Amino acid sequence: MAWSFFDYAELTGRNKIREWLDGLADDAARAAIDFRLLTMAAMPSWPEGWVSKYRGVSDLYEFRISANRVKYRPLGTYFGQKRYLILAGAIEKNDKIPKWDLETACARLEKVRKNEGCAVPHEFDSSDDLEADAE
Amino acid sequence: MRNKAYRDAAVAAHVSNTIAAQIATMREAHGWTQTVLAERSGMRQSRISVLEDPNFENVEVATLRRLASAFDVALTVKFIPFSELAKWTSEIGEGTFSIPDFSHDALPSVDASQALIPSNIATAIAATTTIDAQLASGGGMFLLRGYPGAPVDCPVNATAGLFSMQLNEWARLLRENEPRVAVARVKEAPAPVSAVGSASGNLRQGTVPTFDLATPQLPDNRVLN
Repeated sequence: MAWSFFDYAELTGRNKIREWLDGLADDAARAAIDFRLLTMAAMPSWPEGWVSKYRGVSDLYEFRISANRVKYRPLGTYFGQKRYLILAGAIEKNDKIPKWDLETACARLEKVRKNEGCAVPHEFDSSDDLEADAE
Repeated sequence: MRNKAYRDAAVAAHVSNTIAAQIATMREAHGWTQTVLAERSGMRQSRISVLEDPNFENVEVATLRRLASAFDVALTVKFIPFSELAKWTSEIGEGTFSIPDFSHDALPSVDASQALIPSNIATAIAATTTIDAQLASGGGMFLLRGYPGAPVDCPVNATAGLFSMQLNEWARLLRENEPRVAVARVKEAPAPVSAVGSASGNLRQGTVPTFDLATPQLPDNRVLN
């Protein structure tokens, strides 16, 4: 069974991860994140270096993805068998994830646990184009 | 994919991610530590660690050749159209990075011209929940593929027990897709080989059909109604 990725969404339907990805100015960043997730979906397990537990914050993990020397750090958590929920997007600065992004991820995790937020299947950037090109 | 910057970054990410994922997956499948792989490939452990980092983009082909030798797998480096990369992303799934070494993947040449699909076997597979079959000669792995719709594959080992169980699941999937075609490719076996299968208690015999997995479409003479 391959891994499945989910995005954090508000109960109103607003997909906060899609909003973060669409807001990235660098197309290379979207490609790097897309292909990292696609690759990880097919891996039996994720070695250190692919995903890291964020120290000091329970159940919070980060992916380490670089594009054009910018360090993207999607924050998320495991839920269920081979399912991963992306809670927030972050960009590392001075080797640290901004405090605001950490607090956002933690708050969203709490909302999901209280059914005040939800998980929706992650859609890969330009997936329509990918499929069209494949035909 | 229609954006040039996206395409360029996709190529870079695909290469670095795939290489790192394959090295890590194959190493763990062998039960090797990074230190063991380093010894087998004549590199330092720290180098293996870097190569398994999906953000590392400066891998050299010579390094990949050394790793290919250590894992005893083949290596291809080639340019492809973006449509092929897009196809890869749509087909990626569990097992993508699990590459069998030579001892588990010695492919003999199979004469496709002799690949006749015995209709009795295909029909029986589609109609029954239980297929028990064994190779009358030869042995090894082969793969059954069902059409139409999305291909439904069933890797089969020539040992009878495993064969039966996996084929059951394959037959169930085929029934749900209203199959019209069933094909198989023989690996690690004298080609062609004979197969004896039983379906619903009825023994059936015919030539194990073969199929070039690299060819997505079946020739007309291998399609069953």
